[in-house]
This record gives sequence, C-alpha cells and structure tokens, in this order.
Amino acid sequence: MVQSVGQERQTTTQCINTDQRWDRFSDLPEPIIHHIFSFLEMNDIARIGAVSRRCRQMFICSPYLKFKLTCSYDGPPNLCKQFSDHVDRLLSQRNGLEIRCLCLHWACFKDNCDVDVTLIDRWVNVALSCQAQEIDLEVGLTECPFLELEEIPIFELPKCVFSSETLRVLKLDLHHKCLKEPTGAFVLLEDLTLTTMAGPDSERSLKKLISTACPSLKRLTIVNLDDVRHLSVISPSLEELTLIDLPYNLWVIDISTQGLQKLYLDLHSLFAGYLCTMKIDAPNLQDLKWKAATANNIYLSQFRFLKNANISVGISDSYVDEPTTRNRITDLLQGVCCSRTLQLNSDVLEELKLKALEDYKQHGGFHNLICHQLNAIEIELNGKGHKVGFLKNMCKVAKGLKKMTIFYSKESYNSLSEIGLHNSRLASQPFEVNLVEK
Amino acid sequence: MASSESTTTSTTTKVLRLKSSDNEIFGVEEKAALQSETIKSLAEDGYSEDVIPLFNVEKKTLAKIVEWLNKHASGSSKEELKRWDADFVDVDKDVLYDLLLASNYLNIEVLLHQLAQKVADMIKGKKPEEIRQLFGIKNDFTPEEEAEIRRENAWAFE
Repeated sequence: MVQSVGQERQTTTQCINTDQRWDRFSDLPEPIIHHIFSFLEMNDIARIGAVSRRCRQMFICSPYLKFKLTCSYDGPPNLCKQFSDHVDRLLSQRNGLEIRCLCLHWACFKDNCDVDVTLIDRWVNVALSCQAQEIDLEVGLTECPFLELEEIPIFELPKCVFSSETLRVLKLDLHHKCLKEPTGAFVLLEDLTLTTMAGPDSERSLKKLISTACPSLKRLTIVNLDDVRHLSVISPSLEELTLIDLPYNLWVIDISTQGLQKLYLDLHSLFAGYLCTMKIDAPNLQDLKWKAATANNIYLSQFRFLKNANISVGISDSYVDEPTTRNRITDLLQGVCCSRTLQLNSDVLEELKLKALEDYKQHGGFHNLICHQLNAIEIELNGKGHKVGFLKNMCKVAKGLKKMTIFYSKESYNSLSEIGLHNSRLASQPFEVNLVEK
Repeated sequence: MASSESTTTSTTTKVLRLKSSDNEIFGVEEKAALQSETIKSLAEDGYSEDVIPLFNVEKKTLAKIVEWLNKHASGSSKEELKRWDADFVDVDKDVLYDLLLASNYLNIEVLLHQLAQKVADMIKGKKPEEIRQLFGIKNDFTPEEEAEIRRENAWAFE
C-alpha cells in the first residue's frame, strides 16, 4: 500500500522535474519525525508546517516545543508581545496533544517592556496538563544588567509542577534570581539543572530541594551559583553531579551521596583566600573529573570502585604556600589512588614527582600514591622533559600499568625516549606507550 | 560473507549471524550486535544459535549498519569516533532514509540519534520552498491555504 502511493508520487513528480524523486521524507514514521524535530526550534518546525499538508500535520503534532527569543535594548517596540502571542496561540491550540518538552528561552533587555509574565505560569500549566516530561525555562525579562538591584528578585515555580506525574527533567536558568523554597515535592524528577542562581536564601531552598523535594533525582547540575556560603548536596538517589563556577567566597562544600557514580567539579572560580572546606562522601564513585582549585581542605571518602580520575589543577595560579599546596594535592591523589585509569596535567605531575622524592628519602618509594590497580595513565608534559626519569620509576612501581599516553609540548620532545620507558619494564609485561604532540 | 568461518575460528567471542531481507548473511561479534535492542531481544528469544532474520533491512543497508556496530564496539577514542561518525552520516538522502528506517527498526538509539540530528541540521534555518526543494516534497496547499498559514505563523517566517 505504502509502496504504491510512493510509486504514484514518483511518476507525478517526475513529470514536473526529473531531479525530484519520490518524497520519502513525508513517508517517514512518526517516531523518526519526532526524533528529528527534537533537535529543532519551533520556528524551524513551523516553517516545515508550511511545506505541505502532511508536513503541516507533523508540525501540529510535534511534541517538542522550543521557543527562543532575545530582545536587545534597541530591539523593535513590540517584539516581546508578538513572541508571547505566538507562543500563547500555539500552546492554546494543543487540545491535550502530548507535549514531551517545553523549552522557553526568553530574555529582554528593553527598559519598558510590559509583557505579561503571568503567561509563563499558564504555559507551564498547559505543558504539564499535556504530560510534559521536560521543562526548560530560561527567562530574564525587564531587567537592566547595569542597574544594581537593592533586593534580589525571587523566582517561584508555578504550583502545578509539584503535582505533575510526568515531569522527569527540569532545567532552570534563574538569571540571578533567588529560588523560592519548594512548597511540594517533585516525585519523579530525575534530572535537575540550576543555572545563575543567587541570593543567600537560595542556600536553604537548594538544600531542601535536593535533600527532600526530589526523592528520585539521578542527575544534578549546578552552574554559576552566587551568594551562597554552604553548599550541601545530600541525596541517596543521586548518580551524577556536576558543579561549575561556585561562589568564590564559598566556605563549605558537603557532598554526601551513597549512590554517586560520576562527579565533575570545575572549581576555577574558588578563591584561595577563603579556604573552602570540601567533604566528599561518595563510596561508590566510578568517575571523577576535578579541575582547578587547590584552595580547599579536602576530606574524601575511600573511592574503592573508581575507574577513571582526571585531575587537572593549575598550581601556579594559587596563592597558597607550597607545602600546603603539596599536602592538598597529596590528599587528592591519595583519594584517587584506587583508580584504574588516571589523567594528570603537568602541574599535578610535578607535585607528584616532588612528593615522591620526599617519600623516597623517608620510606624509599611512593607506593601509596600509585596503586597496582592502575592500568592506564595519561599525562601532560610541559617544558623540558626532566620528568622522564620519574616516569621510568613510575612504570616500575605501577606493576599493572599497560598503557601510558604522554601529551608533550615541542620543547619536551628531545628528552622523551619511548625506548627508555619500555626498557624499564620486564619484557613479559605488555606495555604500550603513545606519544601525542599537543 | 565469511560468517561461517568466523563462527568456527573464534572460540572466545561469540558471533551472531544476521540475515538481511534479501538473504545475505553477516557475521557480527555478539558484543557489537547487541547494541541493537531488536537483535538483543531476538537473541534472547533463542535465535542466537541460528541465523537472526532481519526482514526490514536490505543487504546494502545492513552492511553499513554492521560497519557502524563494529566501529562502535572497537574501543576507539571519543574523538576518533566523533570524526568517524561525521563521515558515516555524510551520505546522500536515499542512504540516509534507509539508515534512519533501519536504525529505528533495529532500535539502535545512538545511531538513530546521530541520523536524526543530521536531518535536523539539513532543515535548520531553511524556508519552506527550500525544504520542498531539498526533500522533493510537493506543495499541495491551495494558494489561499498557504497565505493563511503564512499569516498565522508570520513569526516563524521573519
């Protein structure tokens, strides 16, 4: 049946244009069309809707509704009004048709934009009544970035989100607003992303949100947090945690997550002067990525199941004295010593070498930093390759090491000798060395 | 296809035999083949000792799919896979449709995702006329209907 329709089309279109062939796009099954639409904004889908009757049907049924507008301070006078009319009309026509994702990224930098913000709550309501699984809000309206506000505005979620039985993913960009304490629970929420959240009251809201309001949470991402001194992430269900750009004056980070498997910390923004304390209790961690900051006193639980650790710390950027830095790096390296694979940047490697020298004088080795479980290591070499001797020693100590990858800069090449590294191993042990120029 | 040889030579890795709709047989290591949820459930249903029939996939498409499955089970680095995948989906539209339908039928989530992304990238930013041209779609609206649709969605056309 489908084929005969196709052939009929082929013959009709061939009469018009020999370049045009059977239109297979229109015959794609609905799940594939929806999958394609999930990558498109509503404007693109609306333009598809003007292509043909079949395409119009695809547009009307699309469960992905992504609306985006940035209105600059000198934008046309009623741009926001036109945009909100457009969104409002499309959402009011849904008639209960499934919405899988509602995404609204709307920023306006005009001084006197009089758009009706209560519409947003209504749209979220419509989406949730159509079984929305994902809500992504990034709304910053009628705000002037140059004006210092006396009070931090508050962001409140519409009440309907707490009764949703379908919502799995929630992404909120608060545009430097303070999050109001949740008044209910997100029973099924698995994925939460919070961006540019500010205000000291956010501290309590955040704690409550994570520890009690999201019992099913699996993935949490916090980006660009401000005015918060204590950040505690206590969640037995959490599997993945990402923290990027925390407040520079943070005092305490307290992560207590029994089920955590992946942890990604980008702590560039932490300032050494405040000596933040970081406690991580994640006994089931498998994957750790740690970028920047030695400005912490680190208390790590045993990561016995760690498969991969990527440690990249810029030591020259820190204002802490050398012995303290070394102790902190040592704490960090000891924490990850069970890892099967390790990735270290040049600064960390240098610290490791110095620490090893120190240990060698005292106990004749650096066994407690490199474990026999280690089977692959990736390291970065900068400057003259004076670390080669140390790498040879490392190869001897790490009995299980099967693969070493070295990312080297030009000037360190001369002193690197692949053969030298190979010779430090017994011939019976399989060992692979890869040299990659940066 | 050297499927029977590979089944006899390999003692440690199991090889599944996949049969295309036009009766070509492909031998694929189990680890690679099970990236397809459909093959996985067929294998669990007891087909694994025998040939697994894939009625909706022709040999030329299945050959491409097998190539993808093998590459993605080969332990290549992320960067290499990314380059390889970009090359893999850079094909003409007919092959793209065949791969889309096959990866949907075989339920290979990662591949389906890459292919859908590729089609979406082709559509992004295009006008209705350009989309018609691109996919060979016939405009079956009356001029009145078309004007109405344009008026209604004026926002998207600016």
